[in-house]
Amino acid sequence: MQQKFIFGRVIETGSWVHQLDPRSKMTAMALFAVIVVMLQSLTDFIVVTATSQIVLYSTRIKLTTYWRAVRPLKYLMLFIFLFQIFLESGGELLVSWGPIQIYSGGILTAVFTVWRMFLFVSFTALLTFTTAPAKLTQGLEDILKPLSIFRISAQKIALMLTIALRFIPTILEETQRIVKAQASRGADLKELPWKDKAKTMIALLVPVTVCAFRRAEDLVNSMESRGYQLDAPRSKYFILTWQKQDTLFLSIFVLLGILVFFI
Amino acid sequence: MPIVFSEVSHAYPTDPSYLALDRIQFQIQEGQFVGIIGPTGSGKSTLLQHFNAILRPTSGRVQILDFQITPGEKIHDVKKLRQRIGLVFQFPEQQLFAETVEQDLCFGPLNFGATTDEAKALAVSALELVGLGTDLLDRSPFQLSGGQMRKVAIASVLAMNPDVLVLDEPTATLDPKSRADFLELLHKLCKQQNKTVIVVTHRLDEVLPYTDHLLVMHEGRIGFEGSNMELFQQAEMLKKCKMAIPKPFQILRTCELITHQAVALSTPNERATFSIEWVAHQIDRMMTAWYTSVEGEVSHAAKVHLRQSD
Repeated sequence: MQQKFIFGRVIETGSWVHQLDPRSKMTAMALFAVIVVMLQSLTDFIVVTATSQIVLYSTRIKLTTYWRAVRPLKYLMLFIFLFQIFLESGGELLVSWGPIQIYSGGILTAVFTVWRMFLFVSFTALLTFTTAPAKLTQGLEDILKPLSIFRISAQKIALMLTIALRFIPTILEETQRIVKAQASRGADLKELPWKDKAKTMIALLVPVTVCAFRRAEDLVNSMESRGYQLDAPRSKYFILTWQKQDTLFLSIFVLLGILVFFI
Repeated sequence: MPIVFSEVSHAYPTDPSYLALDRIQFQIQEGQFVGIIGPTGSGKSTLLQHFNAILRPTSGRVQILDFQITPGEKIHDVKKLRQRIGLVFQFPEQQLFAETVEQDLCFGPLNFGATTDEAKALAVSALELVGLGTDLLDRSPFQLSGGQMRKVAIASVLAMNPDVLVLDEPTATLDPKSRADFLELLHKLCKQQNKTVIVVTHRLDEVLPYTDHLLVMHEGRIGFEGSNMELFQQAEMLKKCKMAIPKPFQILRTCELITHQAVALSTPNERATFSIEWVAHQIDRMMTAWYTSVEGEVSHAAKVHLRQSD
């Protein structure tokens, strides 16, 4: 279970992207998301794919590692692909077989949709692969600061994210232990038929939830006993500084956006 | 049909180059009370999960009762194996999930094909076995105290009526009184119902009064295998395995040095329990032998004085 879990793991290579300000990386990601949605022609796709792969390559992490980040979504992508092929009409009618009709426009849309997903997921993995979670949340806190005029506390959101990210591996580990304990009591998910699997899930979900709540309570107590207060002024662990490279990194995406939008 | 581990190695898929178990080899006879001792990270918990095929060896073979566990090969009837080997994990109270204690206790037996009535009967007897009243049956397991939850969780494994009981640190976080009671209970199960009991722990002192056979683990290997008495004679190896030498061992060793006598069993079949009474008896025997041997040199008056202050 754990080795499949590639999302949210930092791979340290010390490249220039690793040293960027998390705020510039996040803004760039947001821009990239917009760009990916706006892509229309094949040239757009090729230009954006080439640029994004070059940026990914410059992080000195293997490209295949990024492509692998897409793997958990393979069934969703397959589903969307088929969905588009069968239901999208437009262009020439290619195949007509009973109720199934496949148009050339459908194939084109299907390929483009999946291509978009691939671009988006593989590229945004850059954010988590090159940025330590603590820096990421601090960057987010800074970006969300303007929200305070709507009485939304950026610190709260950042804290929630930090805790959530921190506890993913812990809870996974705990789940694995409970899976083993229930298997020892004769409820092995792997061995059971589908019908009983659902029933056994209760024997896993209840203890895992109880554990998570207990952990949350412990965490609250230990934070409060060390004087933690929400919205109190706090010093920062990392000092974020905006440098020339950050502007450069961001301008790549601004230019890319202009290119896609106007050409 | 005993339990035999031959050349068992295990490496976790996350780090195949590191052997969590390194060519482990030992035997456990039926009806024995076995202690597996080792410091944290010595591979105890990994070893324990091999007993009911939760983990498979990456090389070597495990024979448990009439089951063979080898790498890769699918076990014929893994459910049957898991019914006969009751495995209690560390902090078992975390596995409780049902609405009532009774439902939780019935979970195991029902999974192994008992009828509802049979399961209920097993639940009651298991609960009584761990010393809890049947009035708890209708309560929610989450309303119980920590100690009661632990006992219910262990009862839920006992309810499966296993032939072999394997427990990982069952006494951790219990208070000293419950700890002693609990080990007493395991010992009773072992001797009266002829169950094989295997306790994994890092508290050697605690299990010594009960164990027939001891395994000391160190860095994924077996550092020692033998009886309590053999461990006492090779106590120095405990230090090499990063374990403390238990108090009774230290006391008896000091006594041996003073009296130039040796700890000995009165009959070859006697089990060295290293309980307080047993240690006191040994000291008394060594002291008496010492007085006799030095009688000529020590004056009668000094001897009387020693006796009185004893």
